[in-house]
Amino acid sequence: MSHLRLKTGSRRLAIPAASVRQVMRATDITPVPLTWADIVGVMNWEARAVPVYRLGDPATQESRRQHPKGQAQTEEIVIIEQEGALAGILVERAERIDGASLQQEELTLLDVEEIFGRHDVRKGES
Amino acid sequence: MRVILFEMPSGPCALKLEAVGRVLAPAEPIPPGHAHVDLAGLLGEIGRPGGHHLLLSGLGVALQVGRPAGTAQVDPSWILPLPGYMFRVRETPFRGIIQFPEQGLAGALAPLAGSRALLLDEEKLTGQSGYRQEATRS
Repeated sequence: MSHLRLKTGSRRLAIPAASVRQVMRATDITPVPLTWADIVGVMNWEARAVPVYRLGDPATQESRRQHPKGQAQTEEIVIIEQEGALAGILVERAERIDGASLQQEELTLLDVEEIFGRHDVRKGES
Repeated sequence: MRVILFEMPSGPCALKLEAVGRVLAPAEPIPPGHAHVDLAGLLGEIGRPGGHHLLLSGLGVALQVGRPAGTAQVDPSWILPLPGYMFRVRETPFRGIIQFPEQGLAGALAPLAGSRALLLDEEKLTGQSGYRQEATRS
């Protein structure tokens, strides 16, 4: 099974490629009030509003919430899906790797269920 | 759907125009029978939104907002629902987010091409503020 290596701050993570719908350049994220602290805003992906998460350290999150439109142009968004629910993960870089690299590099495997599970995805749309 | 657009600290917001009876300039007094609701406070936003008020018809509410930025006719297909799981509150005051198309907007809408605005729900706003009163139509 192939994975994507994600670099975000000091964290080096991996995510199963099967959960990933697309990797794209990070542009045009709109901040939305009353959202969880790890959500930097929403993006429009295929005519759907998709919440974008930052998994970096809290200090960085705080900085981004104060300057939500100042994301670096080099950042990428990894669109993931679970049971029809979508989320974007803001990372510095995402690269496809094989299973051997996953073992050798001692990457932390990101649990997609945990990302969606931190907030109840069964809540409806507004 | 026709909406009125206005600025808030986090970005442009909108309300259905039919919900708004009048727009009060910063110096205008709030008419009797209207409760003041600070939208920025309700949304937990940092920074003052400005001194304008929207009088919400029939709800008896004067909603303090930022500078009004005009009205626009919005096609329902431009309104994208916001997933409930992104919010830390159970009841959100948004109908969705308006995604103005990149192309095909003419006249007064042209400057809005490609932009977004959060579309608020006036009923949920007043409900969330904890304020309800009988309809007071002028």
